[in-house]
Amino acid sequence: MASASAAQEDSYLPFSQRPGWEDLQPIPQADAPNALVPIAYTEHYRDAMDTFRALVAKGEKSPRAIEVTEQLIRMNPGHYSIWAYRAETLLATNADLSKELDLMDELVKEHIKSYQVWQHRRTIVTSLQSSTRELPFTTRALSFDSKNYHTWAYRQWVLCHFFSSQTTPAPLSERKATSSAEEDGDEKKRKSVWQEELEYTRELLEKDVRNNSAWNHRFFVVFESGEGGGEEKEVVEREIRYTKTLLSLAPNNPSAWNYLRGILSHSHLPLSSLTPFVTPLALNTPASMPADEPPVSDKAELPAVGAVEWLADAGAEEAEKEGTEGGREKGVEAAALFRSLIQFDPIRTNYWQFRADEVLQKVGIAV
Amino acid sequence: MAASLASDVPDKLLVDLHVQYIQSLDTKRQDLAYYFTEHLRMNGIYWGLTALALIGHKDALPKDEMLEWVMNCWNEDVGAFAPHPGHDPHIHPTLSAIQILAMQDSLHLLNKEKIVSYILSLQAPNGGFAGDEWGEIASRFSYCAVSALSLLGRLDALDLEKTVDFLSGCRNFDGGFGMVPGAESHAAYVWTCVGALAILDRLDLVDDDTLCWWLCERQLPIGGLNGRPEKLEDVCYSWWALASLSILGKSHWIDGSKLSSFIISAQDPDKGGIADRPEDMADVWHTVFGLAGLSLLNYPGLAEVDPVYCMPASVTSKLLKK
Repeated sequence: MASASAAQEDSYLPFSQRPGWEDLQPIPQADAPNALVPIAYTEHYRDAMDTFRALVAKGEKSPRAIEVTEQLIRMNPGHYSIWAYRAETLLATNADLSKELDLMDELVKEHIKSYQVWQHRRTIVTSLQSSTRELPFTTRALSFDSKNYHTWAYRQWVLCHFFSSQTTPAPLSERKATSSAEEDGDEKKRKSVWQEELEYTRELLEKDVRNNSAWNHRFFVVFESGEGGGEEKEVVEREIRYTKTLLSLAPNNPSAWNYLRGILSHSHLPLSSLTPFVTPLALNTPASMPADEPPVSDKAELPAVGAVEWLADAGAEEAEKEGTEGGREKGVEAAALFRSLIQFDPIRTNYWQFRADEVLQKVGIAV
Repeated sequence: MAASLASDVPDKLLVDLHVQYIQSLDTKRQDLAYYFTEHLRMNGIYWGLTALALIGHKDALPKDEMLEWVMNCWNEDVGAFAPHPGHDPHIHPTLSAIQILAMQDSLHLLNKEKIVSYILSLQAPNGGFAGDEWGEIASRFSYCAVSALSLLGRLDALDLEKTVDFLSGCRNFDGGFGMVPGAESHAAYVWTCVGALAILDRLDLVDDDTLCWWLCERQLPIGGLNGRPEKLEDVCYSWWALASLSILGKSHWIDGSKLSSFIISAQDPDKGGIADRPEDMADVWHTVFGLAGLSLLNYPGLAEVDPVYCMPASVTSKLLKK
């Protein structure tokens, strides 16, 4: 390896000595220190930066600006001025943007956490007005990092930008004349995209039921996108059933409990509406799970903290509703449940104690 | 994951080493990494200065040289700061520059009205803020805008309703906040949204019971906090999650002594600085957020930090006349 890089170093030709670049006078950085250790990579980077400054000074938007910015972003993907100049140049020169997406496909593997890689792709895709590659691209990216924040945000942007019926329609001048048959086709496509999205979250959760990003995305698809039918009763029931099934297999999964709470809160249902399902998981009595509920897996570790917490919260919710008159008994029960959580989850002792005291105070019991 | 910390890690705050570590950062110009982090240099100076101020050594970096460098990053045409001379201006280094000048008692150097116009020009129709003219919208830029306008005493220029609408749209079913509406809750975005809402006096829009539970669920048995469920603990969340809890008056819901032991154990015992977790490489970002977290935990010897602005409370209380 050492000899290969030494050979590379010997053969490195600064931009200003390459054919087609002789006219450019490189501009060194104003405050560059004098004693740079001349390691090869530093020299390449400095030469490319000096050349880049020369292009920017001339305002030159050209194929060679595309060439030098590619070299720079490969070395330093965080430098957003370079990305910005590259994007301006690509658009100004009517460059082949699908080739740019090929490059982005490649770079995202190494630089998945760089904000700029994603924003640049968004700029290119917005200009291309084509989403064809985008969902398969993010699916591939998520296959090697299923919780990457940028990838998920980008995927949601693609869905909203290209497949939402709620986004502002394009100005009339930009719309193509479409026959009604084509419009029906678009509508069908849109619906199937969201349907497939729901199926995609199911596949991800099958692989890893604790993937919080997938749970979040499912909530987005069903309840927030306006495309998942989250206002319909049967959709809400389907989601409750789905989550219960996954909890009965792995009940110690905060993401799933949060999702279940999210559904109830979205639909204005009380926590106590799920007491029959939650109780056997909280009390370690799996055999008492009602027949119309999903059966508890043999591998489920019980009692589940999330279930005990649910029962305690449900009790507190009811006790609060009934207040100092009728809520005392329920309040005392809920406080005992909160306190019982201290042994399972000692790091949050103060929290559980607070919840116990809070519910007692609400039903008029001094603590 | 180990539920207890190894025995050979530091057990007390290494103040002198941290001072040396931060002083050493600007002398590493022979390292390529120095050039690859130019786009974060202004932020880096804010992080280093804040860390030093919290350990009572603000003067360990020369003030005049620092101010001269900061003003070299000012772009008069745009009305904003670049992260480094020769880079493009952006809202994040602009906030960092304001914070540095505020801590150095030098806000008079700023052309405030130009900055105000620049910030307002970045607001999108949905109320979110872009980081620069390229238009990436994220709640962290809303924080930058709100915090900067507040430090400049010009919140009156802001369209409050639009700004708040975007921030509350970032709230999720689990009580947390994400980067944009729909995006997963993440402790760092929780802080940017809660911090901005606190400055705007709109904490009524936070579902604080649900959110504070979600935040205190971030603490793992080893004592450190993670940023999302099922992720590893990281010292930086000692700031993002704990400062959010602190703003909402619930920092006692987590186990403070376990968290402070975790942060202390992530110090580099040889060269100073704090890493993301024990035995990793230290950097200035984890150093400031580790120290700021310790300050929130009332660790002895540290100046009080303002959980909303991430600067010494003595600076913000003087500036904002709190």
